[in-house]
Amino acid sequence: MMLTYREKVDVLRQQKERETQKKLKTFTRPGFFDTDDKGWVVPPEDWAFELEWNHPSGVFGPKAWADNFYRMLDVHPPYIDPYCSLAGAYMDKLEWHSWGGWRPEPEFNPPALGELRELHRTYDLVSGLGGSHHFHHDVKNIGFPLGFGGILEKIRHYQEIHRDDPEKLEFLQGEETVVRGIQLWIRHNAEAAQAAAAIQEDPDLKANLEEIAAMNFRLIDAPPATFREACQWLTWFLVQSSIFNGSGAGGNLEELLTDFYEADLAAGRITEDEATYHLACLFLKDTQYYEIGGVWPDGTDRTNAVSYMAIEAAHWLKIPTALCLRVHETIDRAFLRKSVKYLFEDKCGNPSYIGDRCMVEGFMKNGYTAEVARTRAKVGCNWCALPGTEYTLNDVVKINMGKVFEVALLELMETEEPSVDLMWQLFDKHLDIAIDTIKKTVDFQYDLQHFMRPEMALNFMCHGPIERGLDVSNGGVDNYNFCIDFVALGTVADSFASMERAVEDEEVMNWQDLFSALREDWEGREDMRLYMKSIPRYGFGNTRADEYAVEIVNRLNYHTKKCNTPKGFNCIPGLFSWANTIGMGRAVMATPNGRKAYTPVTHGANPEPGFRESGALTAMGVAVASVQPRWGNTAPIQLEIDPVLAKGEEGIDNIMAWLLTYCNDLGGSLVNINIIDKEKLLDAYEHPERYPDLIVRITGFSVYFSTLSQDFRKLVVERIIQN
Amino acid sequence: MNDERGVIFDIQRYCVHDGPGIRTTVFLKGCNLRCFWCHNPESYRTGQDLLFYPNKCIACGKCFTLCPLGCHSLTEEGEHRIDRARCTVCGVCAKRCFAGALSLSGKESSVAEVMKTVGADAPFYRNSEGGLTCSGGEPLLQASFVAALLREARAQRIHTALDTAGNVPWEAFEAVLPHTSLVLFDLKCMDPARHREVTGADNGRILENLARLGKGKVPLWVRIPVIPGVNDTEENMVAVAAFLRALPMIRKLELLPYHALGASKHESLGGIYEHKELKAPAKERLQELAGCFAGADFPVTA
Repeated sequence: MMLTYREKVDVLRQQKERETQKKLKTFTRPGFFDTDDKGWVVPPEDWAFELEWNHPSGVFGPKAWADNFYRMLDVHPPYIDPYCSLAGAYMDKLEWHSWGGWRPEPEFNPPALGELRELHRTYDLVSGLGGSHHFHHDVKNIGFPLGFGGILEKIRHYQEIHRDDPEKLEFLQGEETVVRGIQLWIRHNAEAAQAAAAIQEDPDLKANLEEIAAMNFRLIDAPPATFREACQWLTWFLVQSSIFNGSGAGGNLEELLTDFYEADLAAGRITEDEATYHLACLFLKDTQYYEIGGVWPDGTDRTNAVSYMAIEAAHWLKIPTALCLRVHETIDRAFLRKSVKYLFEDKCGNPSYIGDRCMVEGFMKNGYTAEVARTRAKVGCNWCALPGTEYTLNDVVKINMGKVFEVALLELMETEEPSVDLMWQLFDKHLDIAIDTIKKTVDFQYDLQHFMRPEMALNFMCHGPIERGLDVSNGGVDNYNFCIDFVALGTVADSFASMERAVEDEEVMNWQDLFSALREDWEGREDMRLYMKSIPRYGFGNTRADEYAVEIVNRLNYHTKKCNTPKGFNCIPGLFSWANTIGMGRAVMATPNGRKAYTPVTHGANPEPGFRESGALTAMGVAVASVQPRWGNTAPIQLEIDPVLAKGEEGIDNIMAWLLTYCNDLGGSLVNINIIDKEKLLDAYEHPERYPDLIVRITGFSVYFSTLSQDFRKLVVERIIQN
Repeated sequence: MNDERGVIFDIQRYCVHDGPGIRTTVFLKGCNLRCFWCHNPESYRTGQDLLFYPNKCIACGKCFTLCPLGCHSLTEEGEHRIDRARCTVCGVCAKRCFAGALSLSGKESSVAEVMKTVGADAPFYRNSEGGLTCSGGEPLLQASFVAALLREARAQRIHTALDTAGNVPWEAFEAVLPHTSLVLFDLKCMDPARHREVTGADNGRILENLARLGKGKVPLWVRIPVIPGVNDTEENMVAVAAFLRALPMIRKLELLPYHALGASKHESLGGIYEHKELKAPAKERLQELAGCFAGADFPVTA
């Protein structure tokens, strides 16, 4: 019996859940799955691959990376599923193999960089040095019109132009190798589909396989011509970039797919159900970050049939899809309502929501027009980037303000007359040093990264790298806006408020009492610790900690924006911890807010869990909106909502109203929402194996709960229960 | 802004069950009913109350030494006892109980202080047609403060709701209604004897006020807490329906299922909650009771 499109998606979801359990058994390294759920599948048992090093210390430079990538694509097993309309899946990644790291020679490790590395350790900075991808390509304007055949021609054209520059020539030859590798991989999949069709007895599945084969033989060279082909083409491009270095920037779906859908519809080639099915297949192939909604560059609402189908496809799938809906003043309310309904119904943490006003107005302050700012799509965990013209190191650079606070505190302990005012000055001084350190490090990244691990899988989809023969990290594109994310805002703001109240306002302890309690991690001072914890937190509303949080953001904005990097590059601040709250907490001693040493710091721009007993939703909204840096990068709010809050039409209305208020009126940036039944979560904590399909949103990404490490499960459960 | 002061025991933001949209509910202290199922028993008295949650106590012993009257003691079994007969609720112990086991309920606040919190969520009200709700306790026991608070909210273009049980002189309503956008009227049961038995008060004045409100100018939602064994009969609901039929201002009727969330609060006040066996009514039963209002001019939710 022929399955409907939706029934096929049900089959695909069940396969995905089985595949996830198989992955868990195959990869047992602790913490391996504490990141985005990805679409990769377990390779055959006899799969083996090794990187060929071109240097005693590892793999370096465009040629070596391109050659290795070609070798992997050449032997990478094809993946064809008769229930899926699209071919391909990835089973391996280059970075899962030993590849060296940073080149050891002195020219790549000058003394100035050595000094910066010392400071990275002092302030527990994630420096971004050696970081890859985390920017956005432009499939719509490069890939779709050219196809892989056209891209190859373009690369060869510029090889001719740069034939006298050996370095550029090597770079462009590497790009050619990559594209030829992709074409080879597509061919292998097309052949596999052809072979599978030959032995498939079910006429419907056979027809699907034959279409996959025919479509992919065409796509080796030709640009996509239909909606399905566009989805397949996007799959090839995105999945190869995942194999190369884990890039996950999908793109804005209305921008990418509207023209194809409308043309197919006009020609009578497609139905809404079929297009929804292709989108579900696209989402299944890999958990890339896709944006939906928002406005076109002229400011008009972008919601259309593709927007609705994308939400519907994710609803059919019910896997950790990474869709983000862009909210603005004139958003189609029916579309927003549908998304909220599915958010609560599916409980997959999907979609997230991003405030158009905050992102556009903020980015414009860096010197861009509204038309340009509106194209800066939300295509990462917490971040946006211009398609194909901007290099950002988004979500790669983190300043642990908890550690900065600790450095200042240790200095305060050595002074003769400690005070909150002096502590504030010391914190500000060290924050400035940490930011300055990052700016200097970013310049080294710009100079040196292309010798290490150039962006071979993304360069050819950007405007400039091929034309100039330069890697995107080194002058290939026009815009360099380096992201600096700050972590532990709540921990630091609460610590200032607690110190101030306890030592200076109420004088319930003196400085030496506090210092010794902190040094000894509150040992024997539980009463004092609880007192410090009881002082009203950032997020409660109208507290000193709320004021400190705003002032801290003012200072980090000031230090970030007061000057560019020494080489002149712009930096953009944000507040985002990704999933590092555990790791960064491990670097920080006890803090005056009653936090025990080496326990997690606060998450993103969120207040500490349990910051108030009721009404957290609006209180947190007002607080997090007040600490937005507002320069074009996000300071996400993470909400844990009981499903009962969206009961009935009125419940959905209220959540919609919350989103519209937060994004439009308060100018908030990113909203990540978990819809979670606490009892179910607690049971899953004890018995994760009983809930293979339970999905939780960690931060910008969602995962199957059962795949998380014990530490992570604990963190998620505590965070959700306390909120 | 008005310098009226009132005694409140809580301000809850993002309330979605006390009127339309997203609201902030201000809970006023003091009530002249004693419904045994009350989930806010700390609202009974107008003055401050000392709450004690043993599960939060870390046995630091500070309250034993701090209390000027020696009201805190340990029994031979190691149980923390509070001599509430002698306790003057001075709050010294609660102020230094950092574990949060001891706390004071009730605080005198000005209109401006309350509005600072209420006003913070004003944009959320606008997009959800929500606003401020005054609840309790019985807010109309502090009618002058409530009137001042609602007047100020109205001046800030915030929708106002009054959640009352109605056992007050009509003059209290007269003071507040001009500043009220919506009245939420909590109705227990129609039988006077039963009402007296379970709330400690007659329902004559309550029904009289309800009738007047229902023929007045301010829209009205009637809310019935459905308490098993108290008012969950067809007979009671049919009588309510008959009473409400003549009241044109009623816009909605809500049947609110009993829940046991107040039990721990009763005990934190030193009382014993004797109705732990009481279960929330089944959804189906609520639907059946809602059927008693068939033909009404207003929607019924359960």
